[in-house]
Amino acid sequence: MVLDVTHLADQAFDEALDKYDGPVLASHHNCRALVPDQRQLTDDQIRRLIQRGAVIGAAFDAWMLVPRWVRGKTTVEETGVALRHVADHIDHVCQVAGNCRHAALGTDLDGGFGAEQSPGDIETIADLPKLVVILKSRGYSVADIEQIAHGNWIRFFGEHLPD
Amino acid sequence: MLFFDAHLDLAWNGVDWNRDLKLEVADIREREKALNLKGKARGANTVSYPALRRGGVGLGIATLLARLHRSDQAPGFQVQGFNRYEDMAGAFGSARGQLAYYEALQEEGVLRLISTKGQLAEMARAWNGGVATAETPLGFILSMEGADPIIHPRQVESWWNARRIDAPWPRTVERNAPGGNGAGCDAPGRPGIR
Repeated sequence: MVLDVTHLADQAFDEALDKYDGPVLASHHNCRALVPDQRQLTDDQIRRLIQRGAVIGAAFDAWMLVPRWVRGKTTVEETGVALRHVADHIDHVCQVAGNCRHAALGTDLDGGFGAEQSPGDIETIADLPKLVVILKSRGYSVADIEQIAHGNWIRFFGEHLPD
Repeated sequence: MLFFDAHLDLAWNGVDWNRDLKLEVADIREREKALNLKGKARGANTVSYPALRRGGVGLGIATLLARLHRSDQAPGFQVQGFNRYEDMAGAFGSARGQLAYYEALQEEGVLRLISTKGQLAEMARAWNGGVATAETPLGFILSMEGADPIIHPRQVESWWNARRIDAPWPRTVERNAPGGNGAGCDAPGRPGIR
C-alpha cells in the first residue's frame, strides 16, 4: 500500500510518517516556502519525503500557487496566476532535492474549482504542454522535464505497485 | 510529451457533478450554462477525456472521493464538516459508486485501470511520447482520497487486495485538513495506516 500525505495537517503528517514505514507520496502538494499555509509542505517536510523516496505532484489550484488568495474573491487577472507559478513550485522541490527525481505533477484541475481558480494560461488541461516551454526557459533539460512530466511517477509506481 | 497527472477527481466529476467527461470541455461548459447551473466552477471546468488525450495526459491517478457535493452551493470542503457524509456507510457507498463509474468507462474502452507493475509498463509504452492511437485508453491508478469509505481498519485490506486503492489516508484528512488545521490522526484513522 502507498500512503498519500497530501491534505495531512502538520501533526497528522508527523504521526503518519512515524507510524507507517511503507512507500509515501504527495499527490497534489505545493511548497509552503512560496505559499504559507499548512496545506503546503515545509522544506523540512519535503526533505523528509525525499529521504523516503517520495514523489511530489505540483497542484494547479490557484490558492496553492500564489500567496494570499481568497477563494471566491481573488481573481486570476489581479494576481496573474499562471503556469510560471507551477514552475516555481516544481523548481523549489528540485532545488531542495538537488535533482529532478522527486518533482512531478498532480494538477487537481477538476477538484471543485474551474478556470476562475486555475492558472490563467490553462484554458483546458490540454494546455499542459505549455509548462514544458517554461521549464526549458529556466534551464531544465528535456530529460529533466520528462522526469517531471511522467518519469518520476512511472518509476515510483513501477517500484510500488503489486506485481 | 507524455504527462502523468497524479491527481484528478474524475469520478467525483462524473457521478457527483453529473458531467459527461467524454465531451469536449467547451461542450460541458455550454451544457451547464444552458441548464443554468449556478455555483462555483459550473460552466468553467477544464478537464475532460478528449482534453486529456489532446494534452498527452495519458496516465495518472484518479480518485475515489467521498466528498458530498451540493450542486447549488460552493464546494463544501471550504466549510468545516459541510461536505462530509454523516455516516461512514454513506461514504462507503459513494466510493463504491465512483469505483463502478471507472469500471463502466473501462468497459467502454475510455479508461484502463492500472493495478500492477505490468499494466503500468504496458500503458506507459502505449502512451510513449504522449501520443497514442485513438483506441488506446487513458490509464489510471485508483486512489482513495480521504479514508472515510473505510468503515473499519480491516477493510483497508479488502480495498487494497481488490487493488482498487493506493493511498487511503487516515480518517483525519477531510475533517481537519484541506486548509490544514493542525489536527492529528483521529483514533479510527490510526490503525488504517499501519
